Amino acid sequence: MFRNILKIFFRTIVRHRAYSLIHLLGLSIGLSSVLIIMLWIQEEIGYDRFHENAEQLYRVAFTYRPLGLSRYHQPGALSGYLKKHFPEIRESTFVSGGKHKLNRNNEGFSETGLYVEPDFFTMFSFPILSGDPRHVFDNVNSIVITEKLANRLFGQSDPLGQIITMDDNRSLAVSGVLKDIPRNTQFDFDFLVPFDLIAPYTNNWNAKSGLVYILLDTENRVDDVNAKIAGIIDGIRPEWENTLFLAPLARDRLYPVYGRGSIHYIYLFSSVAVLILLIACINYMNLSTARSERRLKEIAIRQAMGSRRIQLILQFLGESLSYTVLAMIFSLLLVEISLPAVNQFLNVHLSTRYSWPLIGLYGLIILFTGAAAGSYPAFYLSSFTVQRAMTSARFKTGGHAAFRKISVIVQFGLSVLFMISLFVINEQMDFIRNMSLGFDQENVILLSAGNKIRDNLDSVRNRLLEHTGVQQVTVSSNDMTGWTNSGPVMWTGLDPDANIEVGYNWVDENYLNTFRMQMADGRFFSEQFLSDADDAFVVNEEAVRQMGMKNPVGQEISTWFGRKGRIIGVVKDYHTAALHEPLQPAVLMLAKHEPYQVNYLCVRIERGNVRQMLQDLHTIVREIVPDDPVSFKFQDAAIQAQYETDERVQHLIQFSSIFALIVSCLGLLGLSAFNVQQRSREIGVRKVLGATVPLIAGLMARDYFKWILLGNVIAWPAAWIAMHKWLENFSFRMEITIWSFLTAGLATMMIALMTIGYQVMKAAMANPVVSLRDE
Amino acid sequence: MIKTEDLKKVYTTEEVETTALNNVNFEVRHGEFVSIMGPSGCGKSTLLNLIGLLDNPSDGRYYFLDHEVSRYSERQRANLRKHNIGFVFQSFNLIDELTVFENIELPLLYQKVSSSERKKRVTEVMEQMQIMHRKNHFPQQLSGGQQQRVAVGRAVVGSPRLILADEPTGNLDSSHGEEVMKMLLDLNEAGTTIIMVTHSPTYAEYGHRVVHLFDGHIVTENLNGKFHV
Repeated sequence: MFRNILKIFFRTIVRHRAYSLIHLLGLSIGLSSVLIIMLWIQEEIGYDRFHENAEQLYRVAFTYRPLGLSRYHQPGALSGYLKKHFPEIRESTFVSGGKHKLNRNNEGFSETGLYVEPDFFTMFSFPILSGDPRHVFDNVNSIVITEKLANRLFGQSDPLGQIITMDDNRSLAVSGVLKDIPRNTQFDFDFLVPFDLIAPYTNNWNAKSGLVYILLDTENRVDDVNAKIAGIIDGIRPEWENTLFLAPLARDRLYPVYGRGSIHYIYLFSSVAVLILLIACINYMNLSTARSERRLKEIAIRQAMGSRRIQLILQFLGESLSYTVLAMIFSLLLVEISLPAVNQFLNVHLSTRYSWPLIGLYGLIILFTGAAAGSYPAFYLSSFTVQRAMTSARFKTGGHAAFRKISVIVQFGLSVLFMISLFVINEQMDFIRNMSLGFDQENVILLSAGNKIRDNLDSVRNRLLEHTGVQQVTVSSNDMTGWTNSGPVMWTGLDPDANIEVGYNWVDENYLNTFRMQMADGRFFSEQFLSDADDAFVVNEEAVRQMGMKNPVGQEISTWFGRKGRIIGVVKDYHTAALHEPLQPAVLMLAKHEPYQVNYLCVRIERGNVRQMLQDLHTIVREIVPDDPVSFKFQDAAIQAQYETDERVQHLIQFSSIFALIVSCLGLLGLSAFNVQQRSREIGVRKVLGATVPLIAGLMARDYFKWILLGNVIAWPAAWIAMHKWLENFSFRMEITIWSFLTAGLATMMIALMTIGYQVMKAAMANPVVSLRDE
Repeated sequence: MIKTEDLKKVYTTEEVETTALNNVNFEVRHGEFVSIMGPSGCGKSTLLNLIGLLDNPSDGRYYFLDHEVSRYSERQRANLRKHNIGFVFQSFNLIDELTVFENIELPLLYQKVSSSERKKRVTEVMEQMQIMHRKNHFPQQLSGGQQQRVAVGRAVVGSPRLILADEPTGNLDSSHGEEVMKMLLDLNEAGTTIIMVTHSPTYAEYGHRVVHLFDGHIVTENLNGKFHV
């Protein structure tokens, strides 16, 4: 019996290639999008779960009680304190890091390194290739490097025991080589060095200079431990008003203690995938029921031969399941082939790693899709009594017509929803790109300043200015993608309950001109006023607004780190962070006496040959600081990078709306072909009675037009709500206009009409004699 | 073998109620060959569907092999049907996607006959129907007569006690029609009960008895005198 059904299935596929192809394509596209999104979800969920102790690893976080904000940064002494006083905490490590200069044989490299405690190697599962993980830091002057860095520094020779100079002042011996760290972890480093190297400055409660990770001995005591550690900071630095708690490492990626976790995207992407699959399933149901007439004879015969209804249901479910299996095989191939393109498009790094749970899940998806797609046809077709099926070779599928209408409405409703979202997102992204940030982000190169550059700031600046392509040079402690130095500001008349946090930035006199910003009041720093270096501040308009000052110029303010002075000018507002954030109040001061605050040299260049320019800059810097690593970035690119997740959503919606539309059109194509076939007799009669081709084409198209219009009506409010919600992510956003809706509606309408156009015209122009005869 | 008492079938659509059969009392005994005649729409096919357990009557009683089956469930009817009744249709009703062999095999699949047994019986039937050489062909590659022979083959392969033939010669020319009638006669000689609906007075004569239906009533029953108890 099973073989018999399978035979019919395959022979039907071969015989009705076009319909089968539509079935398969629709399901494959739906499944492919599910597969891709599942791979992505697998990647996201797998973050830091590969550690053997994943369930017991925590990052220590705190809540700043006055504002209820949670963050991760901790003082250096916390790690040791926790381990010493709480037996539940088996291991712990402080982690802090950043870019460092490594030298090997006078060649400089800029690499990312972390200061960690020895427990790091046993807490986390980063496999070590050579060296003993328990003893790599026995000697404080040690460094553990990744395989990749080892290759770069030493090539083929054995790195163990070799000496590397770090930041020009430490000689460290390589004591271990780690396998390259996987992508799905929150740690990102090229090398590890002992915390003891910086312990003299860091192992205290003075400042929050890094992160603390701990390993709990059993996982179920986390609440107890939380209760115990909550008040630690209050006993030592009560003025911080921090409450400590443990944040599970394995959940960090999905549910961070602040900011948007990727769980939001998991929900978003999954619902998109399910919707596309739904469209594909509807397609299948629709087409197979529409074409059911062809199957009625078979159903009748089977019933006459003694088949029971349940057997027929199983047969049709079996067919949809077989289609799904075929489509799944097809999709797996498709995904395998298209993954590089998808990775690039969505800016992700997916790979097809098949595990048993994943294969099981695929099985479930096949079952679910097969059942969903096959359910309606199965129950509908099997409900025909043999004699109804047998005697009415040309019966009307009446009740089913309603289902067909609804399905077209739903499919196109979803397509319109995706398309409107796409238009709105595109508009917002354009809005972001074109919005004036209050400064000129283009043609500015940011040169990261290491210690040697800081020591030679003036000569580097002068040499750069000698280059004809360089227009201006300034310094800054921050780039324009979020300022890291922020804190309270004080002035006379400050409301003690007010909580105003401003961003601080150390600059020089050329900052205003280099970034082409404008003054709103007063003046900018000038070399003519020597005292500017000591006691002058320039603030932005937002700071003035927040401080509530009437005449800011001349007012005295002081910073939380003790610098005091007067406001000499107000610069027009400019955006120091992504447009998701509101304007930040900014306070600028000169870096003259605090060159260590300088992190960037900002170089405004002539528009032109950027590549040559970079090379020249490189050469110039190298001349002055020969063995320092030189790293550049473009200010506009750095700003753009902040919208990476938004762009990912944009691309996802692009990809989804295309898929949704293709699948919907496939369905429409099949449906219209069938419909034309079914109505050919009616068309013939109408033509005989004098109907013209346009009249008939209009008649045939009218129904679809109606359904798609209805789909639009349903999709519009849904799209408005969804997009309104998405736009709330941005402090600066454009207004949703009716145009996105109209364009999406018109576009789907046009595409749908083009899809059915050929069939409709063919039917309208057919010779009525033929259709009337062969019926 | 078959007995109906006041059998009634009413079709109801949204607006119209059509009485297809009205108080039909009808009996067929083992080994009989009964022809049913009547104009289009007189209820012939409806009667055949009720007899063939493809449908339940609206009213009245129906005894099949001495069981009152008029209220049987779909499942019970399917069970009775697959073991006792073979069908032959005017339009052959072969499944296009199955070969000659597979079409004939189909009823056996529902009777859960073993594979080797199926092969044996299908081969026998194909030889009997002289279509052995067409074994692996698909229906649309066959002539009408050949298709009907396959259909008859499919009807008899399960060795049913009753064969219901709905205008088996309707789509055939006279020589092929003769051929099929000859087969039905042979089957009847071998003991199978046959009820056949036909428009053709000539073919109706092959039966022991001709029942005339008109507007859902049995009008006359002519005994052809060929029937001996």
